[in-house]
Amino acid sequence: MSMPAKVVGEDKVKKSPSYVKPWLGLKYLFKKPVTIKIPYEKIEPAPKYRGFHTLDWKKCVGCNFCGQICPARAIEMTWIEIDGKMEKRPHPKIDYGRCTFCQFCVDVCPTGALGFIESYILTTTGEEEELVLYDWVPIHPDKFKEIQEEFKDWRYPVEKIDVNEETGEVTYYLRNGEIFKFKIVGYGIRPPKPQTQPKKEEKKSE
Amino acid sequence: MNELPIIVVSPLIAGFLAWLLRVRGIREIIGVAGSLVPLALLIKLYPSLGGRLEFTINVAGFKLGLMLSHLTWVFSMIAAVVGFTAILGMVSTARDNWEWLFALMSLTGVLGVFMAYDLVTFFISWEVMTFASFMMVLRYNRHASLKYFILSIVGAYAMLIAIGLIYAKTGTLTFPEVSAIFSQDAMTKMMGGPGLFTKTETMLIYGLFLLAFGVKAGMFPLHVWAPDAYSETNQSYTAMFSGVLSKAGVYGFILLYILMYGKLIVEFGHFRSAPTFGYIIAFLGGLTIIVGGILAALQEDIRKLFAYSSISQIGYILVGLGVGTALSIEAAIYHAISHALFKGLFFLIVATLIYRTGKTEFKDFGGLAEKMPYTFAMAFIAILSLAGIPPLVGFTSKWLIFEAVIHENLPILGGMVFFGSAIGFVYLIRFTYAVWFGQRPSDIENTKDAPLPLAIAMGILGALNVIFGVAPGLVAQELNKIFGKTIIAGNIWELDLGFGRYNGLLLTIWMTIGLLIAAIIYFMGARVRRVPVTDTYQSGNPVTMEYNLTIRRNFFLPLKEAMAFWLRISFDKLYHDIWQSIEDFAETARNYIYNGNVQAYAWYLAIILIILAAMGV
Repeated sequence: MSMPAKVVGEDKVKKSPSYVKPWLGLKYLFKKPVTIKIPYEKIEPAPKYRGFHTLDWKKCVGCNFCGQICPARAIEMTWIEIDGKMEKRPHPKIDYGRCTFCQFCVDVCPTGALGFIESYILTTTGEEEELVLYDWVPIHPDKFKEIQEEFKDWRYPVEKIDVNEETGEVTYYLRNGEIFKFKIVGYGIRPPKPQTQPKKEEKKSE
Repeated sequence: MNELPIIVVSPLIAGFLAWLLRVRGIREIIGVAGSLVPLALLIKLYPSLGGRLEFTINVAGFKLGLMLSHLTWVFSMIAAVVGFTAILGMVSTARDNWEWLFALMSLTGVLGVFMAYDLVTFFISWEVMTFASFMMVLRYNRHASLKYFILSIVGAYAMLIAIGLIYAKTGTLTFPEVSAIFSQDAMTKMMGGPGLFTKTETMLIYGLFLLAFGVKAGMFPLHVWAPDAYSETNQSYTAMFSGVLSKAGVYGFILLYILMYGKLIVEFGHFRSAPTFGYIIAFLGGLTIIVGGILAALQEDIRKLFAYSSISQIGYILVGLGVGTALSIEAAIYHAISHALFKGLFFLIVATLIYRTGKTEFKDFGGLAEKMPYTFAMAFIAILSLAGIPPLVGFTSKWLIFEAVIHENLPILGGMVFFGSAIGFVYLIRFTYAVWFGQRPSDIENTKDAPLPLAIAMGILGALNVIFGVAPGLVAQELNKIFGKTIIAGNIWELDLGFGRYNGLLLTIWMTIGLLIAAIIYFMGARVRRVPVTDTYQSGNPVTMEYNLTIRRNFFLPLKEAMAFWLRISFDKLYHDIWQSIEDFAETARNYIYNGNVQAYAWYLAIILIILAAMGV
């Protein structure tokens, strides 16, 4: 079946140039400018604006669906030891240097552990210790929302991340002054080999 | 009382009556009678021309005057004769009583212009003429008419400003008084005294008059209205439009000479042997000849061809006027007469062609000489006359202009007028070839010859073309009376300039003898037989009527290609751009000023108050 082609005539589209009409562009001279004075005015991002991630560590089962679907390969599963006790499953660590904020990982998460929040502002200098901020294991949604409610400026909730290269110790200094500590013991889907903690390795093998 | 107001007003009254009486037949009779009255009265007044023929009436505080001198009589006769023939042609071609009213009204206007005694009458008549001709065009084509109207109005109001300047300084409006004051002013200036008019003011008045009369005459940069207005109206009326109304511009230039000649020479001096201000007119006239001629050759529409041809011929008159000697001005007036005669005839022929075939473009014509022998004979006279073939009036007037220009030793102007003469042949060949000769398209196979009124009208103009050509002294002696001295000597058959002479009768006799000899040689030759038009050469191939062997499109393609660079420069486009910019400016200004914002209006008030405060009110 062939549809009759609908072509708009050129005379309806083509405009004749004018020497004077460009001056009509000055009609906004006395109108209120449509700028937003950002430091003094705020804009509300849309609800469900795709911002930073949240992770409910209790719900995460470490299935790595998120890691597989991530188009930018920004998600790496991370084995975490918190308060000296290792989590049973790896948790996703998101690299915002690569993340495209498509939130496919959130859609695909079977348990709903991975979520997102409307916060979207993260600025750092080029210093190495500041760039660490871009690589995090997301914090619990309730904690994130609490911080957002407190500051209402749609910023990243962590002010500073300290990483101890030797011990793998990570410290989040949250904006409300709280400190959140854990330890990264390995990466990948498989559990880490207990090189640093031979005791655990022994226990497991037993 | 006096015949002068009757001459001027009778066409208008007749037009109004024809407009009221919608009866077919009666309105034609009234119309023709209305145009015949001025003609008859002008002829009747001819013997008393030497005396004072004046008429004044007080209207609304103005003294409106009419006057008949030799000069105005000549121009009024052009108007009356060509106007009469045009009105006669309209008996066949007019579509409704609207055309009767405005055609006759424009005749009144143009007679008023020619017979005006003061600037007020002149201006009023000028506006009547412009308005009536605008209405004639409006019925056919809105765009063409508005273009004509706006350019005319610009010209007319330029003239009004000039008149205002003159009145402010002199306090009078009648021609003799204004003329006297100007010549007195020139004299004072020559003595080294302070003039009444400064150089700037004189230049301004001259420029404004140049604009005003240039528009009406169709002078080169202001000619763009003419091709549209001449073609988009009743072609019988165009005989008058081009033949007479454009002469109003020419008459205006003569008026400029009458009023300010000495003053303009004193202020601007001479360029070579011509006065500078006249050389400007003449140079623009020369450009008009060239531009009009070349564009006429490239037209595909018969009406447009003659419209551009009219522009081109007006150029000759302007050259003649510009050179500024008594001889050249006489030559220019002579050419004004002959242009009115042959161009009136041409447009009547065009009217006949359109009336009989309903077609206007060259691509639809061909081989009509057989079907319309009378019209063809008239076209033949007109063609010979315009191209300047000896026994006809066109030759005499062009010869006079050539002589006048050469005598003053102006080589550039001479080149322009000679080029114009050549290009005149070029576009007439196009008309001759494409309309009258060659194959006849089958849809105009049953064309009849001209209707009687048009035939009579063409006959009158054709006869005058021949008579004034064979006996050029008839016109020349009349023109001598304008100057009051013998500028072109000779008798009615011969013109004698002192450095050149032209004998119309002798030349006709010799040409007739030549034609007789040629005829004898021809008829003593081999037996002749008629063959069909398809029995033709065509490289030895057989042809039928299905083959179009007549070139009907792009006849002068090589000329077009040669002139391609110059043809890209179009004043028509320039004026359209200017007008478009004005319209855009109006839209922009409306958007800014009337912006619907109450605070803005309050600000305007505040600004005015500030200005008033600054002025110390």
